[in-house]
Parts: sequence; C-alpha cells; structure tokens
Amino acid sequence: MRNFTTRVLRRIAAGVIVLAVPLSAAFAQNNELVIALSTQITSLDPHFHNLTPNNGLARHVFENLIATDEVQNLKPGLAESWKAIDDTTWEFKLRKGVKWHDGTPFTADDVIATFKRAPNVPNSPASFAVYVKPVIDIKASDPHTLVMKTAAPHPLLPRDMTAFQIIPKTLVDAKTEDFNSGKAMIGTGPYKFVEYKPGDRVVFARNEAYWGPKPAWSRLQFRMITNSAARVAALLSSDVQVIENVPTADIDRIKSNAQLTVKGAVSTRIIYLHMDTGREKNSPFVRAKDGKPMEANPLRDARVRRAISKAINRDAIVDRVMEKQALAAGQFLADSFFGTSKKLPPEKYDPDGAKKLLAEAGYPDGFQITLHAPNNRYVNDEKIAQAVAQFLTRVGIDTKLETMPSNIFFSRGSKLEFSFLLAGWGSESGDTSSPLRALVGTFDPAQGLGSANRGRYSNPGLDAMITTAMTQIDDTKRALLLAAASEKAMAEQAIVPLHYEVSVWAMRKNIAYAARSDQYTLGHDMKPAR
Amino acid sequence: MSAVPQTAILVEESPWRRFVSQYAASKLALFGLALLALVLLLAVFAPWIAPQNPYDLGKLDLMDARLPPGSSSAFGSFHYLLGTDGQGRDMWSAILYGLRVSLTVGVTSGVIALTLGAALGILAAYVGGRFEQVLMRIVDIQLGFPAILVALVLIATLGKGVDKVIIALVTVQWAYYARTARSAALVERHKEYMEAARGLGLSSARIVLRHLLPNTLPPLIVVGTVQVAHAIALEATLSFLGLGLPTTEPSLGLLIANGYEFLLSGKYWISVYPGIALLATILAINLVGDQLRDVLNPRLAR
Amino acid sequence: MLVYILRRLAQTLLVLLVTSVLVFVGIFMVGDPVEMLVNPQADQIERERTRVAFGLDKPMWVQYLLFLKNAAAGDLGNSFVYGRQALDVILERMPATLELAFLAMLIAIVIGIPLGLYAGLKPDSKVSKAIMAVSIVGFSLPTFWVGLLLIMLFAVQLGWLPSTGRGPTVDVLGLHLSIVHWDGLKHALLPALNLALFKLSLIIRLTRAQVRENVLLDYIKFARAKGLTRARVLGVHLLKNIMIPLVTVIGLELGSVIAFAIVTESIFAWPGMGKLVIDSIFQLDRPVVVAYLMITVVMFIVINLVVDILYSVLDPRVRLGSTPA
Repeated sequence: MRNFTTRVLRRIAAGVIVLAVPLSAAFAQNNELVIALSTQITSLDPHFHNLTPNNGLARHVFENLIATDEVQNLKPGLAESWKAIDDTTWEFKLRKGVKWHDGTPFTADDVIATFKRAPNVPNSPASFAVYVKPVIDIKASDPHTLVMKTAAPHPLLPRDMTAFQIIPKTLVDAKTEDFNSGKAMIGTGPYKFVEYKPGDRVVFARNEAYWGPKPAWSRLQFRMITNSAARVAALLSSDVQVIENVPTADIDRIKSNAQLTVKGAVSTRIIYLHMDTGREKNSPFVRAKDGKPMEANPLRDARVRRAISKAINRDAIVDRVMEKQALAAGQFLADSFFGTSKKLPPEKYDPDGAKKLLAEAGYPDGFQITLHAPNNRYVNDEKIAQAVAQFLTRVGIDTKLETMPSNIFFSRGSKLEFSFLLAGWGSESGDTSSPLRALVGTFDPAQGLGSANRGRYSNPGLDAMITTAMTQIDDTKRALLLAAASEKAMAEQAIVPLHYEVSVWAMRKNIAYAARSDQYTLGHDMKPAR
Repeated sequence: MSAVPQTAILVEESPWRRFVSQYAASKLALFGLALLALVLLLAVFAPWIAPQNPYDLGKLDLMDARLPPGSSSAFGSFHYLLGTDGQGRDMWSAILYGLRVSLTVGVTSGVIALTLGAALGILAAYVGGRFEQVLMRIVDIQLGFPAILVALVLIATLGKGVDKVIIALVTVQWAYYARTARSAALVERHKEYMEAARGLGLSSARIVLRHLLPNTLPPLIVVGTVQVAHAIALEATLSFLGLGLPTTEPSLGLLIANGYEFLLSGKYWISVYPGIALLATILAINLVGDQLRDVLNPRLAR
Repeated sequence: MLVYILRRLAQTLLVLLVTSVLVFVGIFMVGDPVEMLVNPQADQIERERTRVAFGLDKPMWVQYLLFLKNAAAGDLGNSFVYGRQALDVILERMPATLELAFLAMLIAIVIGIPLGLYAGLKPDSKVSKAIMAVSIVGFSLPTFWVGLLLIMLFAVQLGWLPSTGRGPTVDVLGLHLSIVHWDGLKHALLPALNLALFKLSLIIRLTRAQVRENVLLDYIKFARAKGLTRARVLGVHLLKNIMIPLVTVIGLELGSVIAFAIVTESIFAWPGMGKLVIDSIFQLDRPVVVAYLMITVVMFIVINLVVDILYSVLDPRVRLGSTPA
C-alpha cells in the first residue's frame, strides 16, 4: 500500500540516481549527431539500388549475415559462424536472441525471404541479383541454421553475404515506397527510422533493444551536402559534426583547427590508366610526333606501356595533387588487402629510363596521344590527368587532355572510342579478384569477364590463372594464386596503376571514428573520444 | 571663302567632336574607357607580356603548385608574381591568357546573340501574325532549356573548345534578347511616328531600320551590357560544372572555378586574382556601355 | 483577348511535343543511361538485364512512342534512378524551389525598384553613383563564387546564419514550406540573396534607365504642372510607363530563377528542383529531365502569357495579336 510519502521518496531517489550518472553517459543519453554525406541516396529500400550511399544508410537499420570491420575483414553479423561443408555447400549458424524492431524474433526464414526479395525489386536500376544468383538452393535446417548450395565452387560466397541486408519475412512483398515512407523500415540494426526528407536528410533514433554494443548517440541526422566546399563550410560553422569525403584542398585547414580532426583509411579504389591494346593498327587518338596519322599502335608494345609507367612521378601526384590523401600504387590493391603480392612496389619515377624504353621500342622521339578522363567522378580526377599529361609530355609523348563529365566519358569509353584513358576501380569484395576479372580479363560477356576492360587487354594465360583462383575455396591457396595473377598482369603492364585513394573523414575532436576502407560512414561506430 | 556676317560666325562642330565631348563629360566614363583600354591591351599582347605560356604542358611543373604570390620556382629563377595554381601555372600568365579567352567568348557570343535575337524580336513585333506566334513559341522552348543541358549535348557531340562554348552561349542567350526586343517594339509599333511613317509610304525595311530599331535600342543596350557580363559568368558556371572550356586552356571563369575549392583553405590567390580581373573587365565594359547608351539615346536631354 | 489566350494554350501542346523530342534526342546524344545506373561492379549480364528492364534496348523512336502513349494517360514515366513517377519526384521538391525563388524575387524587386528610381531621379548624386557601381558588382561575379563567399562570411566567420540546408518545414495548405517561420527564413536568406543579386542589379539598372528617359518626357511635365504631388507623379504616371520592359524582364527572370537556381541549390544543399535536375542531367535520368523540362516550358509559357496580358493592361496602345495595317 503506497502512501504519498513513499511515492515522493521514490521520486527523489530516482532523481538522485539520475543526477549521479557520470557525465559521459549523460552526454550520450540524449544527443544528436549531425553527419554530412557527400552523395544523395536514391531510396531507403535496402534492395532497390546497389549504391554506396544507399548501402551505408541501410546498414544502420538493417544488417548483413556477415559483417565487415574497417579493413573489410569478415566478422560475424547476423550469422555467428559459417563454414564450407564441401566445395558447393555452406552452412551458416545464425545468432540467437535477435529481435526485429517490431519485437518479433529473427529466424532463418527471414533470410530465405530476403533471398526471394533482393533480386526482384521492380524498377531497380542496379540490382542485388548478382550476390544472390550463385546460391541455387537455400534451406533452413532449424530456425537458426541455414544451408546454401552453389552450382560451382564459389569461394566469394561469404563476401557476397556482406553485400546485402536482411529484411523480415513479413516484408517479402514490401514495395520501395513503403521503405521510403518508413512503414517498412523494420530491421535488426542499431538504429530505427525516424524521418526521411528526399534530397535533404534522414533521421534515425537509437534502437534501445539492439543485440550488439549500444551506439553512443541517441539520434543521428544525415544531411546530404553534395557540394564539397559547402560540406566543409558546414563543418567549420558547426552546423554538422562529421563530414565524409573531405576535399583534399581543405585538409590542411581542418587539421590546423584545434577543434577538428581528420581520419583517413586506404580504400579499395585504385586510379589507373587503361591503354588501347585491342587495336593492332590505327588507334583513334594516337599520332606521330609531327601530328600525322600513325598506322602502328605503340600501346601494344609492353615496353611503351612500361615507359608510360616510368615517366609518371607518382610521389609528386600523391603529394601535390592529392595532398597526401593517396598511396602510390604498383598493383591492383594496396598490399594490406587479400590477393595482393608482396613483390609489386610502385614503379619508381624514371624519366630517363622511360625515354630509353621508348627508343628501344622504336619511338626515340615519342609520339602524340590524347588522354581522356572524367572530370566529376573520382577525387581530383581532372587534376591527376593534367599531371599525367605534364609528365608524359616531358619524356616525349606529347599528350593532349580531354576531360568530360562521367556520363559522356563512360558511354564513349565503353564504346572503345578512346586510346588512352584514366579511370578508377573500387573492389567491393576487398580482394584482387574483382579488378583482375573486370579490368584485365579478356572481354567475354557470357562469362562476365572484362566488364570494365576498356583497353581490351587480352592474355589467355592470365585468364586461366584468374579462373583457377576463382574456383579455389581454400583462402590461403587462393591468395597465392591471385598474387601470382597480379604479378603476371603487372609484368605485362596490362594497366598503369597510379595510386590508391585514401578515404577521408573530418569531425570534431571529441568524436572518434575508425575510418573504413569500404568508405561507409556508420553512425553506430562513432564514439565520443576521450 | 564666302562672306559671312561677323556677328554670326558659328563653328559647326563635327558629329564626332560632339560625341567625344559628350562622352568625356563623365569622369567615371573616362575611367571606364581607360580601364577597358588597359584590359584590351593586356589581352591582345598577352603572348608577349606573359612570362610563361600556360597552355604548354611541357613547361609547367607540378612541384611548383599552389605557391603563394612572390615565390620562386623550386628549380630555378622563375618568379611567380601572383603565385601559382593547383597545376603549377603562373597566375599572372594564366590571367592574361584568360582575359583573352573570356573577352573573346563573352563579347562574341553577346554580339551574335544580340544581333540574332534583336533582329528576330523586332521583326516578330513588326510583322506580327503567324510569324510572331511561331517565333515566340520557339523562344518559350529555348528559355525553358537549361544552359547546362545545351552545353552537355554540345560537348557530347562536338567536344570541347572555345567555339563550342560560344555556340552554347549564343543558343542560350538569343531568346532573351528576342523577347526583350519584341516587347520594346510592341510598344513602339503603335506609336504615332510609326503611323506617320507608314502614311508617308516608306518601305518596310526603312521603317524597321531607321525608325523602329533606334527606338527599341535603349533597353536592348542596357540588357546587352549586362548580358556580356552574364555570358562571361555563365561560361564560368559551365566551367565550374566541367562543361566549359578545356581545362588546359582556361578562361578567367575556369580559373575562378578551379580556384573555388581553395577559397576555404586560405590559398586565396588562385581564385581571388582572376576574380578581380573579371570584375575589372566587366566594370570597364559597363561603365563605357552606360555612357555610350546615354550619349546615343535620342531621348535624353543634352 | 479570349481567342488570344485560347490560341496560346493550343500552341502550348505543340511546344510540349517539340520539347520532349528535343530532350529524348539530346540525352541520347550525350550517353548511355545504363552506364550511369548500374553499379560499376556489375558485369555485362547485369547491364543487359538493366537495359532491357528499362526499355533502353529498343530503338529510340519506339521508346519515344511509348513515352507519348503513357504521357497521354498522364504518366510521364518512372525515374530511372528513383524508381518512382518522375512527376512525383519533381513535385515533391517544387515547394522548396518556389519559396527560394519567391524570396529572391521579393528581395530583388523590393530593393531594386526603389533604388533604381532614386538613381534615375538623381543621377548625379554620390549615392546614385554608388548604387550603380554596386549593381555592376552584383552581376559581374559568378553566382557560385559569391555563394561561397557569403557562406564564408556569414556562416563560418560570423556564425550569424546557417551555412547549408533548408529549415524545418511547416504544412501550409498542403504544401511544406519553411520560410513561414524565423528558423526557416534564416536558412533561406543566404541562398535567396545569392540568387537575387543578379536580378537586383538588372532591375536597378533597367529601372534607372527607364526613369531617366521618361522623366524628361512631356507627360511628366504636364502632370507636375497640373499640380499633382510628386508621389502621385512618380507612383502612378511614371511607374506605369516604365513597367512594360520591367515586367518583361521580371517575368523572364522569375522563370529563370525557378528553372535555374541550380548552382545556388547545389552550393547551399537546398533540396529543390534545380539540384534534382542537374543531378538527373548528369545521371542521364531521362524521365526526370523530360518531365522537368515540360514543366518549365509550360511555366515560361504561362509567365509570358501573363506578361503579355499585363502589357495590354498597362499600355492601351499595345493590342495583342493584331498586325499593323
């Protein structure tokens, strides 16, 4: 029987306890973190559009079977463990005690429903089918165990499981509009949906019943500020506390600000040069030194390609153009990633060596060429291309530069209209199989090889090495095979690698974030810094 | 020498003399003229004045990028009067060459657009009927099309270059002139002097050229001088979006656009100096244009 | 008059048709939407699948006829990028652009016309000269540059105004508007000022030019001689007569402000139509670009129609649709 006094005493006691909570926890109690993103999302539906900004935001509300840490190593997500039972069968043990945002428990049937929905979203501009396709059969042997079968050995299956989010089985027929309006935003993730203003912002609130570590901020507000200078200004004027994709020009200024800090991580994106090796004669933009048309195609000679590589001062580009937010490259991925070789350092700057090679190949005076590059796709793409043109001109390869927006560039490039182009490639899987297959594999639509091979480089020996590697389930063996393939590709200078991009975040000093190589900006991984 | 009464010696001022003295009445206009002359001289003689040819990629040195004004080259004796930009280009040389390109682009596109647009607009107002309707609908379509899309299509099909940018700017601007000219001509169309001219049996061409045109000119000139500035600024915006001139042959607009990202980082010289050059150029054009308009306007009192 | 309006509206349909053809052809000449849509990791099989799913494998004229068929039923197509009705995506963002445009025009007119009047009536005063000099600065500098300078000054250095974004919205008659309260207004002030600068300069100069011309004309002298107050002379007689060219330009500028606030919206992260259309153009999201241009063209037609009607109201000598004898 409560009387008035008891009630009052209880209230006072509760108040005292609240006041006694340490300050840092109070800081985390009811605080909103405002983060500025650099690209627009096109939808909140996790299966609608396979686009980095969409995927990044989706990860706050929905989770993957297998998660990745900041250097893209696999770690348990909704699946606690997984193993290959044989070459074409995999078993996943799912986490117990996980609840959806609406309170219902997470089971294997939800994963099966996800496999049904993910490849079949209507009007999807970039579908997730590619991750689900290799699995020809999926069964739940009990509510927390899944068995998946593939048609052929598929060592990248765990990787594919990191690429799409799991939705509850009740949403198997959910429409994209339901996600955008919030009705279908029911996931297992650390944050819940609050609000979405298209083109403007997304707001999340902390999921207090989350199974994993509790996120520090109770509210997240993601603002989409695509103009880089405006994004930096927003940070400087304290309108936002974290920004991603910091423009290289402003990094020094931010570093010199006592209240701000900069965090970077080598990404899986490589910036490289592709050369027309497909045409035996008459490459469209290659001319003799005096400007007359030239029948021979110098780019088919590996010595000329190596000369181009030697002529470029990568360190100068990293230092001057990228303001140190890049790592000079000698192969397809930085050597901290899977499938790279320890024997491929970046080519040293050697203009004399380049001239010698050119003379050896029969071009002592060099020749004329046009370099094509996009101007709005990669970090400082136009500037890098200008620098490359400068360096090549100095060793005798008179380089004209033509830059254009990416929509023109990729269309024309894929139609093989260029002789010499600058492009980038980001390996989603975090290993070298992706660039090897797409950039230097012989163009073969049926196999899905060479999808970005705009120079039509072709080496059947290399193709065989790549195919062997892709059927090798054992990780250690596969790593060695991929490294060997990388070495072979670089020996022939199939592409000229320039540098790996470093992804940069800037934030207030009292926030800590482990910069990620996959470029995701995840609010739940941000913590107050001591 | 005919005998002229002493009391009535009038020295007939030549029209040119009169024009000059009227123009010179404003000190501001004289200043504008001097500034314009300076700008034109710099632009015309740029290849001789500029210490470096910023278009020659072989001469640029990446290691000299982003040096502040007054610094010297890393490898030698080259002095960068106004600093260097992100590619190692000498700002002073780049500005001189940029002046040439900007003036060429702005004035050429402005003049062509003005002539084309005014001609069509006045004609539409005079002829009326079907022709006017069709032309004005074309104007509506043209006005609705963003410059960006026009520029993008042109670059995709024709590539980049000074001439392509001029075409893009003319395409975007002519409709504006046409509409303004038509509105001014519409008012004039029904005024008494037009009726008088028709009553006199003057030919259409004469009416349009000698009577309609001069009276619709004043608002056109105001819009015209503003539009030259607008053309140069539009070219800068297109360059900012990557749709303007080739990046290795920059105009003032492209220099400003390139320097944009350095504004927050304190390397102001990459963007501010070209900006000042641009401001001075447009100021000069407009000061001269203002006075010219006032002097040539038949309706202002002398 | 009625016939005139009806005829104009009929021509509108023709104009819309021509516009849609131009956009289809234009985007086709720029590049391949599929390249911009698919994840770069996607292989050729995926690309083909997307191409077929969006009907982009059919010949251009077939795609256009399909578009016409749907358009007749009111369906302008689904955005490639957003997967929703292109019209919905645009209309969703229209209030943001409209309120920015409105605020910018308001600033330009309310400040511009009085300043222009003053500069025209007292052309030799120091204040007038200052006004004219500042007006030149207003249109000489590119919008994106001035925009960043405004942000640097008012947001970063002084901290008076927010640097980007739109303020919280309030539901007004079904529209989501932000400028109806102070917080929203604070967010809108810098971008509106950025947009308004060019128009402001133009209006000041045009007003001044018209005033200087008209103030010397006989009808003004007669009005003064009649004993009318200065205010009446200026406000009624002078203003009416300078309105026609002014109204034309304001009409044109209003259209251009709405249609092309592209750069300002990008820099200030203002979630309006301008930002949408520039992104759509770069992503080759054809349905959105077509729908957007059709809306803008209709808007220009309506504005020009209203302006033409205003002409005949303001100046009885203008008779629309008639040819001189």
